[in-house]
Amino acid sequence: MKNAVPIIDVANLRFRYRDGMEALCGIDLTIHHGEKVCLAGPNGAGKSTLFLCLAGLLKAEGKIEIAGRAPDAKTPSPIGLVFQDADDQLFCPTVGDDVAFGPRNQKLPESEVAKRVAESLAATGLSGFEPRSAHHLSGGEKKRAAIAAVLACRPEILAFDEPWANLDARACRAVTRILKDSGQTLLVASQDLYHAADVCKRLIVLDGGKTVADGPMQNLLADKGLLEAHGLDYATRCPHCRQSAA
Amino acid sequence: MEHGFIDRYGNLDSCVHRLDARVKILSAFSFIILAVTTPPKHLLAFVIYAGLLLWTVALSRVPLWHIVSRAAIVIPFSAFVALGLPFLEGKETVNFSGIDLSVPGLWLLAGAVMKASLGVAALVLLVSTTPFNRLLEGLRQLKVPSLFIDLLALTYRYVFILADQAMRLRRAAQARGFRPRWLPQAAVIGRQTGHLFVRSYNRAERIYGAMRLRGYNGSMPAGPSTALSGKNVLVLTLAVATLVFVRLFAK
Repeated sequence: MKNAVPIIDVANLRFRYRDGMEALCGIDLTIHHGEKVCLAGPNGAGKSTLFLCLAGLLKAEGKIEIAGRAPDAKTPSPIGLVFQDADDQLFCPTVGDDVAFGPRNQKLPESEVAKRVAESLAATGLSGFEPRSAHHLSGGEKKRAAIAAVLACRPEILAFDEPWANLDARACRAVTRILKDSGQTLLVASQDLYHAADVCKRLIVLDGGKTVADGPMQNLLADKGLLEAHGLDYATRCPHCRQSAA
Repeated sequence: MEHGFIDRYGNLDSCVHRLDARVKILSAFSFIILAVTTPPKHLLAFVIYAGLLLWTVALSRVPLWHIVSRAAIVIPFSAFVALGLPFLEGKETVNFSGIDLSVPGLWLLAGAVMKASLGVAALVLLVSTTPFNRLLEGLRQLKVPSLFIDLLALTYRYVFILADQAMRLRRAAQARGFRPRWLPQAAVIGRQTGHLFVRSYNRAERIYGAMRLRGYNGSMPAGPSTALSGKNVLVLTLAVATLVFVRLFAK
């Protein structure tokens, strides 16, 4: 049962980069607890910018309320954002240090930090990777380590920016499994509608910094005209392994 | 892309690798300070320093050529800096092919080369027997300022990614026929360097954003500190005592 108060409430959100490009032109968005939502759109649609605004890393005009309050740089964000490039997120000498980074900043006792590191690495299939350096991980392992680093902070909302980009079929399946298993509210920005359809029930299409469609995933996927008009494509087979969707 | 990681042999298993990083850091720095302060004429002391270093290399199972090849890099630099010393005026001179060379100057030159080589070899051995993360943790526990350690950690983490990006830019230019031979072509390299700088700046902003989202407040959180075991204390005491003994009595 969804709570009456949305966990993300955005109204008339506008953001302009310093070079004058308007990336968000009045976005309205309401997301409830436990929803799994895909934000799709062509390159430059404003998906990543929207994530950065929701996480409080960019200051936008308009209303943003996350879990009942506006994002602010001084308080920890309830959003766990997984960046597109995992190298941006793995900045510590070892995977273990990276996963422990958030819990240690939350000033948790070391026993709790160790527990969260073990649980997060187990959830992403990376148990035993604590002493490994990010230099020596494959692309898929880096992505999973970045997810583990965010999971360890126990955020209320998980936001993934292009989680399946540049991954092989096996790594894509592993990431999909993690996303499906997550109990939090989930936001996924992706152009890979094959994998997104496996995880999310709701699809929001962004284009030119505006919301152009919002509805149940399967209904919008059936609208070929809408997808084509906004630079999207839905294949019923995985672009990597050519398996049909379950 | 393959990179020459400085801690390439850091994950071998040997009694030297198993020692606490703090013991190795303090022993290496004692070695360097004592070797640098040894007068160049105390040849026996330098022979013993080299012997102790070779013995530790043998115990660590790190290939000797790895230590020697990296330590040798410093010889031309130290020799170049000290090359003028034999030409200093001095009472005692030797004639070499018709040129009068100062004997104290020659001793200083030999001392500079020996000290630089031994010092660098000790540091190479230190990083070859300690994974970089443990080295940083050891420095942190030895109360080295966290800003310095964070800079080292981030530099080591991202220098290879930066090198990869530079290599990709160079290959992209080569793929389009760019073969730099003439000075005006340096402008392209300048633009590539600028491009690399802008990309690195953008990456730094993204990394800082990722750190802030996970609660970064100006310093990296440290893991739990552990006390040195009795065995490690014993090894450190023995190492420093031996080095001090050699410094004082071997001439």
